[in-house]
Amino acid sequence: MFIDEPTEDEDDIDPFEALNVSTTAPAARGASLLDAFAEDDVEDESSEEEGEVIATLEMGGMMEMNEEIVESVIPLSEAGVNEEEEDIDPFEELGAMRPNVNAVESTNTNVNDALAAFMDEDEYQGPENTIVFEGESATKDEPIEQEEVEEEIQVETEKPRAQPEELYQFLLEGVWVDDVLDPAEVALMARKRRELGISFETHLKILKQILHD
Amino acid sequence: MSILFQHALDLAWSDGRLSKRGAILLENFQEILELSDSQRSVVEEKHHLQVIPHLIPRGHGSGASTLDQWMTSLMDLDDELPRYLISMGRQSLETGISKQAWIEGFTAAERMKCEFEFARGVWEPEFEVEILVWPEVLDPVAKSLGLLLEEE
Repeated sequence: MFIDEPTEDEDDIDPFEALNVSTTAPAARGASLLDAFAEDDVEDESSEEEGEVIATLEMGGMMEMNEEIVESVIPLSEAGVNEEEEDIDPFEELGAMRPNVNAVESTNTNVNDALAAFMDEDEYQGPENTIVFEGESATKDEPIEQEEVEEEIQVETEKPRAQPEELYQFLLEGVWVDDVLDPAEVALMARKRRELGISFETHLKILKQILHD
Repeated sequence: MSILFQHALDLAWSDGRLSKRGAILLENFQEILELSDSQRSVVEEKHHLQVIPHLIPRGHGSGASTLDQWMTSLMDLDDELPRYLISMGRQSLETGISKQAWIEGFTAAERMKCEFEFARGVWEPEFEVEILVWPEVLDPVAKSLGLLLEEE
């Protein structure tokens, strides 16, 4: 007789039941499992909604919630925390002056005023705030500027240009820098005399001024 | 300083002594050159300080005759003088005329009333100039222009 040979008593026992294993087909069981997952998602969505609501609460609310939670866990009276202790002013306890809220507000208003003043300065005030000199009127700014520009142009045009004789004298002084006169320099000066319209007599006069005087 | 009057002094004192005639000729030459007393004194003082101390007297003022001859030759140039001065001016330019040479040459020409001609020879390159051999009487001017060495 072999060891593995089944007996009649053993055939009556359902091995699935004995092992607590489902006997349904995996496909059918998968569908039911999917349905179960779907139900879990619905539950998660509801919990997410709750989280969003909590997140929109203010910090105080959160703190109250926490206190409620704490109180639900440990009553405040038992924890040694009174409502009076919550009202204790830490500044009074430390003997320090409480910051004057009104003063801060006033300084803020002063700062605001100063900034406002700057803002006022930056703003264009119009011709009323322009400096008006004697004999001038603030209303005719543009004509004055035009006149000034015209005067500047006129001054520039009227600037004393170097006279031909002065220019020639300058050149003539340069000719003698090396103390020796050569034909090339003389030719240059002759050409300059023609260009500047200087006569030979004037040339001699300038030369005498440079060298002889 | 007038190189012409300086040359006249050299001639008058050539034998180490100045005669009365030589002194009179110098007075006349001062008038010809239209030198002022102050201008003459500048030239004469320099001559007394730099030349006379080195002179060895070897005569009795015979230099007056030499001075007279030179003055006469210079006056005789007359119309030829401007041509010579133009030529000398051009030659000095071609050799390279210094500032001091220009001043002395121009002043000498001015004393001889030929400064315009001399200046044209130097400063007008388009002006055609005939190159001439200057007479011996103009040697002092040629020396000042650097056309003639001192030894020559």
